[in-house]
Amino acid sequence: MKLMTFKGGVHPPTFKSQTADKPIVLCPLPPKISIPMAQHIGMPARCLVKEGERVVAGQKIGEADSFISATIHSSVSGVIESVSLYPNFIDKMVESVVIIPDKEQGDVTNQSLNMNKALDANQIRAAIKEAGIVGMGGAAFPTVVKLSPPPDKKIDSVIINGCECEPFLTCDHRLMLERTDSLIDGLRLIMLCIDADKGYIGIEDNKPGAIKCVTSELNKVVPEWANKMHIEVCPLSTKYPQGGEKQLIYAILKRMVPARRLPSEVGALVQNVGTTVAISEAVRYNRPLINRVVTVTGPAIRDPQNLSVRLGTPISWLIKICRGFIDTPGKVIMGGPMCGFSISNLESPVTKGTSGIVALTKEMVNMPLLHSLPCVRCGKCADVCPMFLTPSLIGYYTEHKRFRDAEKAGAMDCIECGSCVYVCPSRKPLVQLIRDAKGAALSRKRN
Amino acid sequence: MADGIDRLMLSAPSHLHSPVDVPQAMHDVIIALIPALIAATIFFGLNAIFLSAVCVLSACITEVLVKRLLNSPLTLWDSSAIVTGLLLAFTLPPATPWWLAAFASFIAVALAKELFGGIGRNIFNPALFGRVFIFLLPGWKLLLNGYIDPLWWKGQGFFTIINTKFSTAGVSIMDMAGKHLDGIAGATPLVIRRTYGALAIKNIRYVDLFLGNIRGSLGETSAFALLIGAAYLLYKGHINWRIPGSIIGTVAVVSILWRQDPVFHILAGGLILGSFFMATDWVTSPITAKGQIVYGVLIGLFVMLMRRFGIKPEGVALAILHLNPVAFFIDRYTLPNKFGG
Repeated sequence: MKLMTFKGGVHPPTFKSQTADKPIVLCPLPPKISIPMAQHIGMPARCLVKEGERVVAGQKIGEADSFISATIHSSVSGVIESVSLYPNFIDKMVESVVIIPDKEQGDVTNQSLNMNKALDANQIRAAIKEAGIVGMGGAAFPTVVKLSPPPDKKIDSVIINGCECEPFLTCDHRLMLERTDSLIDGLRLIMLCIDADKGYIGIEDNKPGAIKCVTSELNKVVPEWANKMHIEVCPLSTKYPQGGEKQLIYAILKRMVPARRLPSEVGALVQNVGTTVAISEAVRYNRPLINRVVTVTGPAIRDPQNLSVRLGTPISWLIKICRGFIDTPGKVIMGGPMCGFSISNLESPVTKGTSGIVALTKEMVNMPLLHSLPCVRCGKCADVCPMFLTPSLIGYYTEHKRFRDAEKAGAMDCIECGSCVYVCPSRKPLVQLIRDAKGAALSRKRN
Repeated sequence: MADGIDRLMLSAPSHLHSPVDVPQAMHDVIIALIPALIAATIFFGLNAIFLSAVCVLSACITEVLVKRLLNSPLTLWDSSAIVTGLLLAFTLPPATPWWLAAFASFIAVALAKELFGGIGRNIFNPALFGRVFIFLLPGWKLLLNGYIDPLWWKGQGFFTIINTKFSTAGVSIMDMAGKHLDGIAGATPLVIRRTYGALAIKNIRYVDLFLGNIRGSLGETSAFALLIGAAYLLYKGHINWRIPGSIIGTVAVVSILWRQDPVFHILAGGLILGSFFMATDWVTSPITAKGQIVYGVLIGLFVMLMRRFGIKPEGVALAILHLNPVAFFIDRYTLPNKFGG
């Protein structure tokens, strides 16, 4: 079978074997939980609770006041110790609710709801909004906004992003294996919500187990609604960034999203695996988004695992549950190692967009800023750029403060996938340079 | 911080890097040049290794000296000086006097590379610059008469080190002790073809051209050995087919149009060495896919024009040097269309 793919990209080692076969386990409760009011793109939620108050798991503690925002719920039952500013993973001060959890926690899932009740689009949308669901692949864009396209844009195809092209991460892989029914239900709900009749589940071919599992589940459930919806599994070749939104749409639908436009422009919508499962739980069981699966892994972690974690759990606690560091870590990354954030504060909490914690050893971390050579014009960056840019040229312009030229060369189209940095033999920090160019362009537009 | 963590590094992504960095790429180029060095040693004797060593040593010493003089950090570890020295040696006539080879290597590194700002900033291919530079000096006759016969050492001894000098007879090829080695040098196939016409090269067999059993520069004669090295570089992903393919393709097409033998034009002279190892030099070639093809076609045309109309038939070095400064501008006009317009 010919595998679907995009043009460009790189083949980093996948490093997934450490956790790929480890089932998702519940992470024990930490002594303290810190829930930021801003875990998403858009306006931070308005805090509804005060110090000393008692909250129960699933209780709404932050209200979304604007369209692009998300509600926040308490992930535990307990007493609020404080409401104040705390640094998040990029050391930005964010209003956070700190809760001391009770020893006993009830289940927030409302099993009494009828799983198969007929729903209309607005009910689905309302449930998703109420549950505070955002994109759980890392970008954390409010899902309800994505599911409310402008009326002139007809979306006919929904793609579930099961690529998990980032090395080390296995949380989506495990969800596809363990929550297959919820995944397909979530996909159906999304398709119902935006009235799309085609659904695709894109999975890289390094996860044959997931491809098989989802295919057989589809064969089992399809007949009841097969005449209304078409859903298929699309095996994709293992290449980074296969799960990039525009790359995935091109790989599966062969449609090219115009530069700096949204996927709705070509009638497509992409959702992450975790988000889709969360949508099913929110709509069917009224369950708000209060926990997520986090892959805690990397060569510096003693016992890597896939953990089901309550939002707000400190990263240091996850590392402790995985029996600490085996080696001195040189870098701890939130998300995947190709485009995640390196963090300095291990007390920062897990948020809705945290897909993994990857700890690299000192030896794996080189100092790109200190050791970088001048560009030797090898052209590898241009060969691998999935957006067909010439990163070295943008970097050259940025280094010479020629920000307008950098913008003209396509700096704003960069998806910051990090492929160019991965291949650069001079170890130039190209993504950093492109970010600088973007920043300069934005500040010029503001003035 | 807990658990003995003193420092966590912060940086923009990606946090993983391909193991291939500049020094490693340079080591791969050196490995790729070894088959040609072995072929050169077989055909031209131990003198081939001696000349290569002189060039490499001179290149490295020059780089250290220049960096010291400029008070900038040493960059010998990137191994690019070794590559420059080796490539330069490959372009020299096998009987080049050692001091002239060392001087060419000095020019290559000091003028063509370091004067422009070091690795990554040079406009001209340093090795070719060094070679052409010494051909422009008054002593050029020393070089032009240095194309010795393949396997000449059978009569004189494999370990003979050559020392070419000016003498009453013009230029004499001698060994280090001053013994004359007469009648071992002659014209290269390209010169023969140009001077005496196509009939004169009828007796040159393709198999000799392919294996390198002909007169020519030190490392350019054996297409076979060079192609082994080129295959290695292609496999490692350091070069791609676009530049060498379009150069060789253009040379073939033009020679067919001129009713000349394309196989001869591809195998004789420095075309294989030039297209796979010189024109593909990262720093001095275009980086865009379209640009690389444009660049290759232009070099191919230039080579054929030089071979037919130039003063000297060996046009590969000059063709590449002429197109080097254009590479940067070819890039500007061949930028790819970005994804989605």
